Amino acid sequence: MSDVVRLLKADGTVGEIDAKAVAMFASLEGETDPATLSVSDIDADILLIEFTGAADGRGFSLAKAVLGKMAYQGKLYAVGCINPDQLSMALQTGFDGVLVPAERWADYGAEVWKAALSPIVKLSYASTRSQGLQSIWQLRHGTQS
Amino acid sequence: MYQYDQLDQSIVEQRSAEFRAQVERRLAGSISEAEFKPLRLMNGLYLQLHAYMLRVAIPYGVLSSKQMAKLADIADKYDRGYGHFTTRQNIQFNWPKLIETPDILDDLAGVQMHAIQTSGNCIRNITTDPFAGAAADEEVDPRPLCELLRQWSTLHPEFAYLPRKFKFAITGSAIDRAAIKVHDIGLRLRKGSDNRPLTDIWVGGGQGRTPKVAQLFKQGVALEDLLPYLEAIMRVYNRYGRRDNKYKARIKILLAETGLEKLQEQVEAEFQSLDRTPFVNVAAELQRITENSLTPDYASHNESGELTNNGSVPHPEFDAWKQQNVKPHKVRGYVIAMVSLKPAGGIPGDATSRQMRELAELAVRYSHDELRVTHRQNLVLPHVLERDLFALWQALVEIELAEDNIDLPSDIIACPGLDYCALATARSIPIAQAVSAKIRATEKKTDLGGISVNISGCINACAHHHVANIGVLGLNKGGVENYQLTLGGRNDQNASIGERLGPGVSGDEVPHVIERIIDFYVDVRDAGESLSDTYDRVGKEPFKEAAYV
Amino acid sequence: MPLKHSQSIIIANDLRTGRTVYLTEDSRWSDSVVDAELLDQQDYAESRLVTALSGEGANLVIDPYLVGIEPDLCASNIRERIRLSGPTIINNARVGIDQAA
Ligand code: SF4
Repeated sequence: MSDVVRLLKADGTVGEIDAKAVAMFASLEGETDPATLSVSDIDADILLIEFTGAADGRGFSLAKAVLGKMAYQGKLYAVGCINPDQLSMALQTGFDGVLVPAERWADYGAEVWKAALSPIVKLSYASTRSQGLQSIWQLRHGTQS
Repeated sequence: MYQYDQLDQSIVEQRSAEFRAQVERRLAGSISEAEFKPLRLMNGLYLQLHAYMLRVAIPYGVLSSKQMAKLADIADKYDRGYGHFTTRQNIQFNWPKLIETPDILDDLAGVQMHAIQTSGNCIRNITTDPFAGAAADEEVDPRPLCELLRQWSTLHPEFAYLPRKFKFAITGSAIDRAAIKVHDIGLRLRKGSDNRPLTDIWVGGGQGRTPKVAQLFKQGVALEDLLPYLEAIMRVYNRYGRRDNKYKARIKILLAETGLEKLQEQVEAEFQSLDRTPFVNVAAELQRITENSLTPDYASHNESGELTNNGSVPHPEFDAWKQQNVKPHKVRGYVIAMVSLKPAGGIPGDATSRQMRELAELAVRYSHDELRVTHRQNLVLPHVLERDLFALWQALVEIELAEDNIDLPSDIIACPGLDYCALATARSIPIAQAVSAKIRATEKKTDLGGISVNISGCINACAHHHVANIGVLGLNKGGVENYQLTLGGRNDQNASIGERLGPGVSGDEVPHVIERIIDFYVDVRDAGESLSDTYDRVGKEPFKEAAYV
Repeated sequence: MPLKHSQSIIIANDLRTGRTVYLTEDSRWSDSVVDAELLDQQDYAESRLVTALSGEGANLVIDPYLVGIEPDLCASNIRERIRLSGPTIINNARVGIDQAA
């Protein structure tokens, strides 16, 4: 059996993708300096940002830069060292979902992964791109942010 | 002080519920300790030598009476009847159980408190001048900005996994009581020419293994630019800060290795290109915070018929306390009363539940419901009518909190050290106890103002020993506790790092060495000189000769 | 880890309470050091540590390890001594503070 990677999307659907196909997607390491990127680096329908360490959140900033400044229009997925307790941050910063290798998927179990899509903490202060989360500043002041 | 709305309330309640679920997963074995540890740390729960330790945030050191009373209840219900106030203006409980911590967080949420980001590599609880909003010399009240920064940094997804912890301090006075120059970022609020507040940003201060005084990074930033500018600094730090060595991961090292000018350029570039839409609500939010804050109704207390000492009966003990512990307030008729948590021979920063409860009561009666925590581990009643002082003092005497030693050498900062802390190399509390017991008597006879003594139990320098006039650092030399002394540090607007005096000494010797240093200073000081001033003038050698006999 | 001392015990923190606990002869965890099993053979101590680590696996304790002790049940290292006996602070300025037991 070839390796299967789960694609857990923000909308709650779970897909399966062959690991070989995942390896073909355009991909950036989380620590990439956005200043060094050009539009051609992100010219893709699917772009992956890889978290290389559990204690490194630079991929979240990179997501914001790619979606904001660089106006990337395709799908953005997180891969690598990202666990269910970090999923909410990924959604807030604009990821459309997370790609989880079979072993990591089984480690936590499908239920934990899916539950992480509707986190208990449903609020953040500053802006959020997540459907499931609300920005307190936006709720208070009604302004788009 | 700032009052939560329903949204602030929801976020702390949700966070507590989230932690409860995480604890359940841990107890059920579905997550390992390795996975759970960062989660509990993000909620302020450490594992120390004998037990868990819960660090509760006291945002910018401001407490209501109700909150203080709740801390007392928590100390009784879940802990051992006391709490330890820290140099970060927080409180620590030394004996909570993991299984009860979600209940503690719920209790805290009930009084608009939490333990979010009191640990971990994130933006920690923001600290400020303990006299904020009350000090006679204040130019700009820093509290609304503190609250804005609290909200901005709370659960900020980009800054939950920084290279290392990150500390902010803010002051709105020329006299710096918040030690802003030994923080990762220090903010000095002042009034611009059109009376609108401006901020000077200091970057790269810090203590620990490589102590540094912050450098002036950017001058005169307008409030509308401040959050985007700080976000730009955080991004640049997060991007380039070192992750290969935790001792080189703070922004002070990035600043030293990159150079001031280059780092300023990087931040400027990030600031210029940063998406400003997340900040469109900031001005309105700052306004709302100010409006949602209770300001004391100073006039209302004027008619109170409290017992006062009108001076007809001389009372030297009260006079001494007033002289040492009472500071000028911006409103006429009012004063700031400081409550020392440093009784001679006592444990710096500790208060019993009874004392906390009584203080809460006293704050209701005499201080418009408010208390503060200082970074020197003392408490403050910030808005006291001068005519109530005598009654207040009498009540403080009752609960053994009338020690008149604010800013004297027995007002020692000490971290928990090896008696509690898993990282410690030596004990600090028993040393502080011995030192304060020894010098308290001298203090009462001789004017020893202008000497600070800080004692840390390891190189992490939680007690800020580097910036004390007399710093003590506990080390472990071949299995034996050994104490190194530094002299000449300062933590105010003229911040400087103390110099190592000479070889380390045993714990028993520390009080004697300190006493000899103080005696020598008293002998040679010029009028108005602090110990560090004298040290700068006469140099290390004479102090060294006096210290080691 | 080779034994540096003639005798040692196994110490850990209880997961639920955080309190210091000791591995007993019958492989329980006790919060009293007098219940600790005294280990004087290195091979045996190491096999007991395996048992202790399974306690970590079973989510009972955190971070079990061997501590060398002197004949009077005192750890030879200051850190471990304080772990065994609790904070050394004598509070002569305040009442009501419960000393660690
Ligand atoms: S200075 Fe060291 S011993 Fe003291 S509290 Fe900090 S980490 Fe612990």
